[in-house]
Amino acid sequence: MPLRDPADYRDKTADWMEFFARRRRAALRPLVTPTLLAEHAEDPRGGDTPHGHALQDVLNYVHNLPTDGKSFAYAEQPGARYRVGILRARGTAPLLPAGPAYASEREAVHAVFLERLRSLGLLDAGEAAR
Amino acid sequence: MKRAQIRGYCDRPNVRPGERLDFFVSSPRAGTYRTRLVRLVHGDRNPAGPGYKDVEIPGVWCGEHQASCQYTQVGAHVRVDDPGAALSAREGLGLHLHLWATLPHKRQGVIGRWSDTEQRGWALALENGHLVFLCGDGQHVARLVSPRPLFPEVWYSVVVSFDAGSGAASLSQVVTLNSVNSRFGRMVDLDGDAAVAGVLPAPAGAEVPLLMAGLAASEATPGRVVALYNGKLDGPSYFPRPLQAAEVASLHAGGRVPGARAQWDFAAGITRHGIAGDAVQDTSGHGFHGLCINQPDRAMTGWNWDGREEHFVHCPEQYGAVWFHEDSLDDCRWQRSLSLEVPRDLPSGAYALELRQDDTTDRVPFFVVPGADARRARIALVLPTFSYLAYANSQVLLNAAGGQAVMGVLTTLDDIDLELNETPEFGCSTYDYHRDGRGFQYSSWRRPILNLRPDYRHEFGSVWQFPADLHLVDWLTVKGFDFDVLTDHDVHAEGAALLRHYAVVISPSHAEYSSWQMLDAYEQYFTGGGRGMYLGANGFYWVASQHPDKPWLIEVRKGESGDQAWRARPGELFHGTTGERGGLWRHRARAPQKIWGTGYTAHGLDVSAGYHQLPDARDPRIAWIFEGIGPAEVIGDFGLVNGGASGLEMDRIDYSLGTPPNTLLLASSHGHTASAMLVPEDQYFAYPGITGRDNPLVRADIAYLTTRHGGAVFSTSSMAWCGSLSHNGYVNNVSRMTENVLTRFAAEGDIEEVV
Repeated sequence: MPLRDPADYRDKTADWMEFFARRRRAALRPLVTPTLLAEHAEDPRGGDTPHGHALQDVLNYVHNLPTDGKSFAYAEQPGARYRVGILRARGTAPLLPAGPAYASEREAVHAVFLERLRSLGLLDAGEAAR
Repeated sequence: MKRAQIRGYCDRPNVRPGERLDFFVSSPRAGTYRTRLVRLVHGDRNPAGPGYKDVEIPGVWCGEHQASCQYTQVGAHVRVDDPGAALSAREGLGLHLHLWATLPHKRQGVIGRWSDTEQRGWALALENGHLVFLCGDGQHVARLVSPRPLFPEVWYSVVVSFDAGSGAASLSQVVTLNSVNSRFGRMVDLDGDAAVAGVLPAPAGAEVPLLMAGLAASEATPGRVVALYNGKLDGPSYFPRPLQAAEVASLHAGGRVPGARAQWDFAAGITRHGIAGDAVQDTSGHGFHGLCINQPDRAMTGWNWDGREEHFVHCPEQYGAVWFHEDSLDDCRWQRSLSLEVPRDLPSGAYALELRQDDTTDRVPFFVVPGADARRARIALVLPTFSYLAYANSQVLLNAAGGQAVMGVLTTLDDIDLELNETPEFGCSTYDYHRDGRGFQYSSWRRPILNLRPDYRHEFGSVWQFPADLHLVDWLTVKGFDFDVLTDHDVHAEGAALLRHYAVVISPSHAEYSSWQMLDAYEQYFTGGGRGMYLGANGFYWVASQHPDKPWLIEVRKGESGDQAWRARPGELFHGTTGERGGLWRHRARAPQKIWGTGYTAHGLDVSAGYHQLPDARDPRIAWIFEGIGPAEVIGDFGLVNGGASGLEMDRIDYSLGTPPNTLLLASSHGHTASAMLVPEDQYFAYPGITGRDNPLVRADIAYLTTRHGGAVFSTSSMAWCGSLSHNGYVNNVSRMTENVLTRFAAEGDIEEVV
C-alpha cells in the first residue's frame, strides 16, 4: 500500500517517551524526600557541598525536559529581585505570571525546581510546604 | 522590563585610529538619543567582584541624535531583477525546478514574480503542504493545487506550464528520491507523484522582481519579503512559453529542454576555494543573474547527490542545491545612523558607543587596534572576535531541550535573554537551530549582538566570551600593564607579521573558533621566538572561515564529533565560503595541543575547582612562575566563575595529540562534579564514568613549554581562570602566577629553554 500523505503518520517515539516518563518518574518519586528538597534548597548549584546521587538523578531528569513550557528563574532586578517564568516558543514572549518574588537567585532557582517537580507529579502540596 | 529599547551595531569589530566606523541604530521609541564613547574595563556585575567599570572619553562622539525605528528583513532568498518584465508570464510560462521542503505545511513562496499585498503576478508556492501555482490579476487569485501533499525532506521534480492564450495550465510533481538524497530511502513505497490541470486567467504584471524562496510583500515596499521558504531548491529554469508533454516528461527525468529564458545553476561558480559570492548565475545566456540575500546555505547536496562524493569541489554537478531558511540573516541592512572617525590619539583598547534614550541604554562594542605605524606595546591581547561571532545571540537554553542538562544547573535568564527570544530579527548563533531544525552555519557582526554587551551574564549562568574577557582587561589595567588590543580578524588578515610586533600575545578566556591562517600565525610566531599566554580553554577547536566578500561574516560547520550543538548533514561538512573541511581542527591534524600544549577535554559549567601542584612545579628552571606561591597552595580555589579558577570548559595536555614532548605539567585541577563531562571526541565507546567524579581526563592543566629562539607558551586551560584574577583585591595566587609569567614574557632578554 503506497504512502500518500505525511499527515497519516505520526512519530511513534511519543509512545515510548510516555512509557519511559511514567517509569522514570515512578523510580524517581521515592527519591523526592524532604531531605532531598532541603539539600537542593541549601545549595541548588552544589558548589559548597556536592550533590548526592539521589538529587543528581532527579536533576538529570528535570534538566532534560522539553524547552517549551519549561519554567525558569527570571532576574527582574539582578541581585535583588527574582521571579519564576515559563518559556514559550521562539518569538513568543515568556509568561511571567504574578507570583512570589525572591530576594536571591538561590531561592528563585529552588522555586523553579519545586515547580518542575510539581508539574511532573513528583511533588505534592504537602511536601512542598514542609 | 526594558526589552523594547534602543539597539545598535557597527559595521565591523576592529578599527584603527583615523578610520571611520559606521553605526546603525534603531529604537521603537520616538524622540532623540544621546551618545558618548566609553572605554570598557570590567563588565561583570557579580557583587563579589570589582563591578562594572567603564571610562568616558571626554568630548569624543558626544551628541544628541534623532531616533528612528528601522526594519530588518530576515530570511534567505534570491532576487532576480526583471525591469523588462521578461519573466512575467505574459507570453505564457514553463517552469521547472527540484524542491526539498523542510516545513511544507507553512505558506511559503518557492519562485514567482508576485506581489502579495496586491495579489498580482504569478508564483509557485506551498500552501497547507501542497504545491500551488498562483495567478493573480489584482482582483482575483486563481489557484492550481497539486492533489498530493509533500513529504518533508524528500526531493521532488516540479514542472508548471501555462498557456497565456488559452489559459491552459498544468502542475506536476515527481518524486526523485534515491537511497541518500532524502530523509528516507527507497524502502518507502512513496506515491507522491501528482499532476493537475486547469484553466487560469492571465496574471497581471507585478512591479516586483522575481524572487526565489519568498514572495514580495508589496509593490510599495521594495526589498520586503514574506512567506519565506524553508528547504532546498535546485536548478530552477524559466521558459517564456508553455511546455509540451514530452518536454515535461524529459524535465522530470532529469533531461534538458532547450529554449529556457533563464536557467539558474546554483553550483556555477564553485571552485577549489568554494562558492563564496552571493551571485546566482543564469547559464541561459540571457543575463537574468540573481543575488542571494541573507546568506542561504550554499554548496548543499542536490537532488541528484548519490552519496559517493562528500566534497562539493569534486562533483559540483551534484551540489546544485541552496538551502533556504526563513530566519537567516547576514546583515540587518539598517540605514546608517552615524559615521564616526576614531580619534588618531585614541589608545588601542575595547570601547563602546553608548546609546542612551530615556531610561534605556545600549553599548555597542568595538575594538581599536594599533595603526600600521603606531608605537606598539610589548603585550598584545587578542580578543577572539571569531568566537564572539560564533556565539552571537545564542539562545541555547531557550531553544534546545538539552541545554540545561549540558550546564548541570537550572540557570537564570535576564531581560537580554528574553529580548532575544522575542526578537527573532536579531538572528541566532552557530549554537542555535533554524526553524526547520538545521543548525545556523553563518554568523554576522552586522546586527545587534545582545550577548556582546559588557555586563551581560550569559544564559549559561556566568559571564562568557567578551564580558568574561573583560576580567582580564580589568586585571591588566589595574596592574598597570601597557598592552594593545588585537582581534581575530587582525590575526587572520595579517598573520605572524602582526604578532611579531609583540614580546607576548595573550589569548583570553575562550578563543574557540579559528581559521587556518590564525593557527599558522601563532605557530610561526612561537617558533620564531614569540611568547604566548593561553588564559582560557576550549580554544582553537572548531574550524571557522571568514567570508571573503563579507568579512563581517563567518562560516562554521560542526563535524562528525565534538562538543557541539548540531552536526552537518552527510555530504555537507565542507565550507561553502572556502572549500575547506569543517569540524574540529583536531580532525584536520591541528589539535590545539600542538601549538598551545593543551586542548579541550571537558566542560563543567556548574561548579569550578582549584589546581593542585604536580612534580614539575618544583622544577628549578621554572621557579620564577611560582614565585610568591607556596608549594602546598591550591591554586585558584576561589573566583567569580562558580567559585574556582578551573571550570566552565577545560583543557589538558595530551602528548598523543601533539603536546610538545618538553612540555611541563605544573598543576591540574581536581574536584569537578557529576555534571562535568569528558568531551565526546575522547569517548569513542559510550560508557559510564565520564564525569568529574570519576574520570581523570576531566581536569584543567597548567602547562609550560619553550620553543627554539626563546619562544615560550604558558597555558592555564580553563575558561574560569580570568574570573579569579580580581579575588581578594587582586592579591591571590592566580593573579600572582599570571603576573609572574607576563612580567617575564614581556621583559627584554631570553627565556631559558626547557627541554
